[in-house]
Formats: sequence, structure tokens, C-alpha cells
Amino acid sequence: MKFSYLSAVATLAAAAALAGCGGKAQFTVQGSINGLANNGLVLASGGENLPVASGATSFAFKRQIDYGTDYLITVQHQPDHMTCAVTSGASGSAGHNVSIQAVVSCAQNEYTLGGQFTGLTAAADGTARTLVLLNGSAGGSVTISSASATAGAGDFVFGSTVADGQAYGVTVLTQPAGLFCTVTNGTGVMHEVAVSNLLVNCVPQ
Amino acid sequence: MKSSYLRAGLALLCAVILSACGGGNGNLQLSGTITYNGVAKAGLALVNKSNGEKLPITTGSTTFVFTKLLGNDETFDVEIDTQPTGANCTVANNINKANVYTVYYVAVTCTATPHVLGGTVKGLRGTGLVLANGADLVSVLPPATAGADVSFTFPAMVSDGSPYGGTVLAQPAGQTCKFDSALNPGTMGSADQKGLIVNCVNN
Repeated sequence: MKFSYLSAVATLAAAAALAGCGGKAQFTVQGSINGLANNGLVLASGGENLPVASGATSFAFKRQIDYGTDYLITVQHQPDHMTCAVTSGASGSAGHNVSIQAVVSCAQNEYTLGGQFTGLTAAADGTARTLVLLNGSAGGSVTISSASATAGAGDFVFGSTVADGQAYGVTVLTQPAGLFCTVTNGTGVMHEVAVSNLLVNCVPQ
Repeated sequence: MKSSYLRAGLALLCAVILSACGGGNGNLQLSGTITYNGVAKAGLALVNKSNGEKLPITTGSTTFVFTKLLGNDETFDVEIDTQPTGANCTVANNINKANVYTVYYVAVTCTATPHVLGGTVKGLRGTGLVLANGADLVSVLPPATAGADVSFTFPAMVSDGSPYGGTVLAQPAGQTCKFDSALNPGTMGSADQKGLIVNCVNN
């Protein structure tokens, strides 16, 4: 009698343990989002597209996946003026970790600022002349030398890029010796494409 | 006889112990890094208050090493002896007992003093004027009394020694405004620069 109780209890315990594992575990393909400040982002995983609104700090796909199922999160469509990437946990196997936790990071698109210069010739004795252009206090500067010019003309580009939507304003911080340079198209707002229409013209003083 | 040997031995032992602890006989170089926000300004000097050593810093130097070596467990206290002109420096990881985990990590951070950038718009009548210092913008509205001067201030301050260059991003209705070249572009000095002039004329 005693033994049969014991075996009954053991059977029950085994059944309970099995039930515990039972019914395949479901995992949500999800993650956090950093820096999303515009609409238009669409993430994709397993054929499901997930539009994500501006300002969202997390995402979760509707369809859950079984334990052991591989997943892959991709950026299907970029938001306006920004570029997002799945910077960690883009792919894996459900259940490898307790939960799926991918990270999507977004940053404002940035474009170069540049243009052409003319009249920047070397001095009469052959020494190179340089001028320094400035994009405000925080936008960096670019030094242009007559040594890199062909007949005093050439292209220049600022080392620092300008974010989409940000203003720029270029002035001549340092004039070349004996020349006076002026900037045309020096101010504007960066939008969608690189700016390459700045014109710097130098004339003898 | 016995006791005098003992005394000599004790004295020797004391000498050995003392020299082991001894100040200045260590081999640890008290050192660290200097980071700059804005332009590096001249005049910084550090002091290790524990042994009194003062160390003038070459302008723009990103590392420093005190010349007096420290022994294990010797205390150090690195402080700013003299602040640079036009900047403020702070120290971190600066007080501890010397060992290989502490002496190399004194961190000095110097921030050039920020100043206000602004000036006066003359002859402004139309609306819509936007001035820019790079990406930093300020809108200027015409004065209530026609012909009066209007003052403006850029929202972002500019560090001592940093360059600035004001431009007109958007012209006011019916007018053309231009920065006077006397002070623009320029380099921020040791005080607020509120002297920029923008002249507006009717189209």
C-alpha cells in the first residue's frame, strides 16, 4: 500500500514537471530604440513589417515565435532625415536569452558643406597663401591653401559635417595676406543633400 | 655588551623600516591626463599638497607627470595651484594613497570660460531677420519705435579663445542686412562680446 502511494505521487510529480515544460514557450521579438525623432521608420522581422512612430523608445513585433526559432530584425524603411541601424541583437535564436532584447539606434543624417574658391593665388615670391573659413563657433573651420589650387581655383569641404535641418553660416575668419576674400551662398539650412555651392572669391587688396 | 648589540641591532632595524617607508624614495610617478573643453588657456599649475611639489603645465599639454616619485602608501593630494587665465580647471581621482592603481589616474578637466555673443541691429524695419553663428540662430524683430536700435544675443555662449562668425540667414522683408566687419568674424576675448553691429538698409 505504502509503495503504491509513493509511486502514485512520483507519477504525479513527473506529470507536473512535464506540464511545466509543456506547451512550447513563446518569445516576443522586441527591443529598445535610441534617438528616433522622426516618423517613417519601419522594422521587419520574419516577413512582418512594424511601423514605428517618432519618439518611440521600444518596439515589439505582434507575432511571437517559438523557442529555438531564429529571428532577424532589419530596417525596412528609414525615418525622414535619419538613419537607423539594429546595433545589437539583430539576429539570434529565441530562448538563447531569457527574452529577446535588440537595440535600434538612430542618428540625424549629416552632410558635408563645401564649394569652390577662386583667386587664391600664391604670393609674388611664390609662398603659398592660405585663408580660413569658419562655420560659426561650433561648426569647425577649413583652411584652404593656394598650394592646392590650380590657377588660384579649387574645391574645398569642411571637415565637420552639418546635420539635416541645422543652419550653417560661413565667414572668412582669416584673410590671406594681400588678398580679400568674400563668401557667396555662405548661409543656409542643411536639407537632404550635401551643400557644394559655396563660392569664395579672392581679389588683390 | 649584550645590551649594546641589541641597541645597535634595534637602531639598524629602525633605519631599515624608516627607509622602506621613506618619503621621496619611492618609484611611483604621480601622473594623469588633462582634457580641454574649448581652447586650452595658459597659466595652469598643479600642486601635490602632500609633498608641496608644484608643477606648471605647458599650455595645451594633455598629460602631466610630477617629478618627485612617491612610495607605496604615501598619500597624495593633487589640487589646482593656479587657474589658467580664461578657463576653469577641476581635478578628479586626485586624493589617495599611492600605488599602481591610483597614481596614474589623476584627471584634470579645463573648460574655457564661456561668454555672451551679441550686438546691435541698426535700421531694422522689416520682420523676418534671422542671424546665425554657424548653427546657432537668433531671430530679431524690428523695434517698436521705427529707427531705434535693436540688441540681440545668440543663445549659445562662446568660449574664451574660440572663433565666431555671424551671418544673416534670413533677410527681413524689404531690407538687406549685413554684419559690420570690424568685429565679425572674430575670436572671443576674456569678456562678453556684445559689440557686433548689423546694418540694415531698405531694398
